[in-house]
Amino acid sequence: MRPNSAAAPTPARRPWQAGSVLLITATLLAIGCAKPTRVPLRAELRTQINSVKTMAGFQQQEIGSTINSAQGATAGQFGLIGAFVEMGIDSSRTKSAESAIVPVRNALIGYDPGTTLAAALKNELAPLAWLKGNTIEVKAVGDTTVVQGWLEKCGADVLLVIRPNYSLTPKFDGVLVTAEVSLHPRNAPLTEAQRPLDKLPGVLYYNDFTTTHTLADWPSPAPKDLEEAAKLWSADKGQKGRAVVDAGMAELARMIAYDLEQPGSTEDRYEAPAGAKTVRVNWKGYNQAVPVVHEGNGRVWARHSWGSLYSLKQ
Amino acid sequence: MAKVSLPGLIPPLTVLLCLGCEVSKPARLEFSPVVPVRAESLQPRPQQSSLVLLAPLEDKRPDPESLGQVYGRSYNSGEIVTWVEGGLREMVAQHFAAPPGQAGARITLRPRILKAYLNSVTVSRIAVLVLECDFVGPDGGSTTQVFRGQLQGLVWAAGEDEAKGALLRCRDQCLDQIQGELSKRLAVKPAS
Repeated sequence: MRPNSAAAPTPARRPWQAGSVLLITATLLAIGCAKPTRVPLRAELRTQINSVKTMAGFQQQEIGSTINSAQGATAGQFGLIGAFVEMGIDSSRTKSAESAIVPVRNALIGYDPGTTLAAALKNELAPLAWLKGNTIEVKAVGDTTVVQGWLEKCGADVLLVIRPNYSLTPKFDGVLVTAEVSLHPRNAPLTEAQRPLDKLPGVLYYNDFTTTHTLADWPSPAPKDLEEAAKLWSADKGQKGRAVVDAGMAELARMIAYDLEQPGSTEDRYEAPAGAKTVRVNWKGYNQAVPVVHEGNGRVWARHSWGSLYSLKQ
Repeated sequence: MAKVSLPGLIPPLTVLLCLGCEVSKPARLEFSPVVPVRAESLQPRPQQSSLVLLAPLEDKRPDPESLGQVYGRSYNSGEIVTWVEGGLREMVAQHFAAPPGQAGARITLRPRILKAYLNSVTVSRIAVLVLECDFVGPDGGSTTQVFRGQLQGLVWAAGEDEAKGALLRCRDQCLDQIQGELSKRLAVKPAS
């Protein structure tokens, strides 16, 4: 804001500017009023589950890159020209990240995070007594269309589907592991309790997860550019990088096991109890205080108002 | 004030339109029409000896069908192995024919395709092709190297030709690197 802005003349607002303000306001309202995306598993359904199959499907073949997107940076103030500029900035940032990440990808050739995830899921899901006869399989998949086929052939009452993703953070200082997790019933009566979900068969449970993990011994001051940072990840054939991704996969398994047991609502947003501890979470450009729901292993888990679960270093 | 020409507006508009589209059926990429592989290049040429004996290309991709997604649009191809192998055979035939009077391959090239995928990061499309090759000398000694073709570019229409074109350039990058490595090992002067 300019100093002495109160005394400054206010330029007449043009119609397209008013439109932009309306659009932004409507978007913010829509985000604020949105119902939870999480579908909690109803406690009474657990007794009806006699067998479960877990499938984890990796859509990516290598570690991904992420950028701090410039989209929305001009807040619609410059219309199409602004959007064009934002696209150019994003494209340039992606080009830099994709160029710098090559040594990391080369160092991680042959590394399969699915092995770690499968082992972690086996450990973490074992204590959930209602997941009877759980068998775990990890596959490479093209898209979500495979889920219907998995469900038909799984031979169990329910299919637990985990769709993980792992990428370097925009500064290459850590790894971002995300996952969408859904539980699908195969037959009645469980199918009667299912809820529809976009592009997937009906679900008894759904949530998404995010966990971030920094590279051990991250130097201070930080590397001067992405190429320097990439050298840290690719050193020793990517040993440190593999360890960070493995830590992310293990944390993801812990979060899934925890969240499957947690109650909730599909109608009411998750509100923080009065006086609840909060942490700042960056989500798609929004930096918000999110209530902590669990602490342990030197990490905190925070649940967003729409149900998503985040894990951050304490 | 900056001016934007009408053609300049086409890419962002197209991308915005594509973002709004939902394409549920994976697009199957047919590579043959884009990169015609001469039939004779896939056949052994007994009359012409080569400095490089090319072993069949192994498919070691985690998913032998899928090529990934760009803006939620899936791409499949079962042909990419034949397509890459055709390129390798063509490159070997073109650049590593044995000089007259010299017989027998001096290097056996055993290629494997490790990764072939398309992806998107915000408005950009990423295409990647990774090949791993064993270079086996006449004494049986072997070394392994990885070759990567990687391309990033703005998504214009998220169409099949765009995806194929990106993978074609990745393949060419890999072939150039392999050709360079073979030339170095065989001390063959690269063709200008």
